[in-house]
Amino acid sequence: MTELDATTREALAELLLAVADDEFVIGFWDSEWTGIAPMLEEDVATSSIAQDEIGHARALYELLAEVTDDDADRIAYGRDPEAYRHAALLNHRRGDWAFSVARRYLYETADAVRLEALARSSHERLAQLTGKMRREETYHLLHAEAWLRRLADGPADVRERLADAIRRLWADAQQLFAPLDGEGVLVTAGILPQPMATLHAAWTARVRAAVEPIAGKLPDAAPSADGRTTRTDDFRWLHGEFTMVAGGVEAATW
Amino acid sequence: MSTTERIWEVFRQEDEGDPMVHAGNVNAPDEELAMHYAREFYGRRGESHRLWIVPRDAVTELDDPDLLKPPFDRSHKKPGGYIIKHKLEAAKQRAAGEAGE
Amino acid sequence: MNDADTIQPMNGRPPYEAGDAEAFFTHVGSGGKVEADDWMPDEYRAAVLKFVEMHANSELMGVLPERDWIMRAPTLRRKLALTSKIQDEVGHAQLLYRVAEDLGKPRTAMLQDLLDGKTKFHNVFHYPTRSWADVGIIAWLVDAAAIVSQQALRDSSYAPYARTMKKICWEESVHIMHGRDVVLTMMNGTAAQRGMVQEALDRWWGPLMQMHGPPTDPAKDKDLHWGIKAKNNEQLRQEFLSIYVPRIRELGLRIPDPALRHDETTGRWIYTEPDWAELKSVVTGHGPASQSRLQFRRDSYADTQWVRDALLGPADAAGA
Repeated sequence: MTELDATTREALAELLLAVADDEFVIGFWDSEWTGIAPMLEEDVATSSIAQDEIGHARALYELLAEVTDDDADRIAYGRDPEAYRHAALLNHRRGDWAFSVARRYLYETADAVRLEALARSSHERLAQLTGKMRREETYHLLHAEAWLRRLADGPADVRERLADAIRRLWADAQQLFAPLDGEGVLVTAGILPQPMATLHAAWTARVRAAVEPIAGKLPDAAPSADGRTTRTDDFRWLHGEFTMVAGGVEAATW
Repeated sequence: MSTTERIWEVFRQEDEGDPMVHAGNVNAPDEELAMHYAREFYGRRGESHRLWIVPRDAVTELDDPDLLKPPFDRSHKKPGGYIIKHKLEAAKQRAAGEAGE
Repeated sequence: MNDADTIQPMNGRPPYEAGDAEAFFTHVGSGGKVEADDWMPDEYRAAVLKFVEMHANSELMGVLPERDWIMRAPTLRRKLALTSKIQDEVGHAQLLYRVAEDLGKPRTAMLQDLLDGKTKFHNVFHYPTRSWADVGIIAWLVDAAAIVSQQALRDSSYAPYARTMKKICWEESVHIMHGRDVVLTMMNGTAAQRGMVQEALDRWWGPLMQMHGPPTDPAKDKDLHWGIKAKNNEQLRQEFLSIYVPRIRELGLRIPDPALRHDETTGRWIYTEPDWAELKSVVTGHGPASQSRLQFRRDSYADTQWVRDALLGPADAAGA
C-alpha cells in the first residue's frame, strides 16, 4: 500500500468508518429478527444477511485499523454513541416486518451504488474488499426485492404498511450519501471515484421508480451535512446493549 | 396444506462432477423464495456446489418391490454374478503344469 | 468387486404388509427403517410424532435463552459465532417440524400447541441466562448433552428423523467448539471472568443432570423397543459425564455435586440423585422462565401473523 499523506489518510478513515458503521448497525438491527421472523425459513435467510453485514463491517474495521494503527474490536465497540458515523436511516429500531423490509430495500439499493463505485477505487485494498462485498450483496438485493414485491403485491392493508414505512424512512435514507469530511481529497485521489452527491443522484433515480408506485410521490430530499452525526434514543439503547459485557469487566479478552 | 404454500425438495451437489443428492425440503410460497431458502438450508456455509429445487408434487415415487426387487435370478446382470476365482486358479495351475513338462 | 454369492433372494417382499402391526414392530425392533409414506401402526406414528415434536419445540424455544446475547456479544467474532449458532437452532426447528409435518400434523397446529402450553420442550430452556458466561456454558455443555442424545438418534427406525439427526449432529459439533472456546477464553482471563464461569456452572449443573430424564424401565420404554431412540436416558447421562466431567475439571472448575465420582469397579458415575420433581414441574411450564418465554413467543408470533396471512393465505392455512 503506497503511503498516504495525513490529510488523505484522515479522509479515508472517515469513508471507511461511515461504510463500516452502516454495515455494523444494520447488521445489529436485523440480527434481532433471529428466532422471531415471520417464518422459520425466512428467519434463517434474514439472519444470514445480518451476519454478512457484520462480516463486512469486521473487514472494513480491520482495514481502518491498519490505516489508523488501531484495533478493529476497539473501533467497533469502544466509542461513545456520538462517535459513530452510520447514516440516520440506521438510527431506528427494527420496527415491524414492513419497516425492516422497507429499510433493507432502501439500504441495499444504496449500498449497491456505493459499492459499485468503490470497487473502482484507486486504493487497491479497498477495491478488492468492496469487490468481494458486492458478490455477497447480490443475494441481499435479490432478497430485499423479493420481499418488497411480495408486500407491495399483497392485500391493501399490507401494501399500506409498506408504503407508510417507505414514507417514514425516505428522508433518513438520503443520509446514506451524506457528504463526508475530506471527501474532495478522496475524489481527487480516485479513492472515492465519484462524490457522494453524484452517487446519491444515481441512487435516487433508480429507487424512486421502484418505491413511488407503492408509496406515492416522495418529497425532494437531499443528504444533509449532519446526516451521519445525529443520534437517537433507539441507537443509544443499542449502544448500551453491545457495550454491556465488555464494559462490565476491566481489560478482559472475550 | 394451504394452496399458497408448497414443499420443495432440495438436491445438492457437493463438488463439481458429483451426483445430485437429496438433502431435505423447505416450505415456501413460491419458487423464488424456495430457491432462497434452499440456499440458506443447504448452502449458507458454502458447502454446496449446486442445488436443484423441485416441487414435491413433481416427484414421482416408485417403491414397489415387485418392480425393484423381483425374485428371479438376475446375477448375470451384475459383475458379482460372475465367480471366476476357482476356475482361474484351476486354469493357471494346469497352464503352469503344461509349461513345466 | 467381491465374488461372494450374489444370487438374488427368491423373495424380495417387504418385511411387513400394510396392516400387519406385529410384523411392523418386529421390523423396527430389529433395526428396520420406516419412511414417511410407508404404512405404520397408529401408535408408532403417534409416538414418533410426539418425540419429534418435542424435539422441534425445544430447538425453537432454545433460541430464546441465547437470543438476548446476540445484541450483547462483546467482539465481532463472538457476535458472528453466536448469531450463526442461534440461526442453526432455528434451522434445526425447521428440519424437525418438517419431519413432524410429514407425519400428518401441520406446522401451525404444532406452533399453536406449543404456545398454548399443550406440548413440551426440554427443561434447560426454561431457565434464565444471567451473564456472558452462561452463553459459553450453554453452547458447550447443554449442546454437548444434546449431541449425546442426537448421536444415538442417528440410528432411529424412523428414517427421515435419523437423516435429520445426521445433519443436526454435524452442525452442533461447531456449536460445542464455539462454547468451549468462549469458556476457555474466560478461564484464561481475569479472576472476575473465571468467577463468572464458575457461577454459571453452579446454576446450570442441576438442569444439565436432569436433561436426559429419569432412568426408565427398559422393558416399558416403547420408544426404545420401536427403535425410535437407540439408547436409554441413563446411558446418555453416563456418556455425557464420562466425556465432560474430566474436561470441566481440567479447567479448574468445580462441579457443584460433592457426591459426583467415577466408580472404578462398575465403570459408572455416581451422583446426587437429580430432583425429578423439579424436572416434571419445569417441563410442565413452571420453570423460572417458562411463562415469560412462552409469552414472548406468543407476542412475536402474533406480531408477524399479518405477514404469514399475506404470503400464505388466511390464518387457517398451514404455514410458518
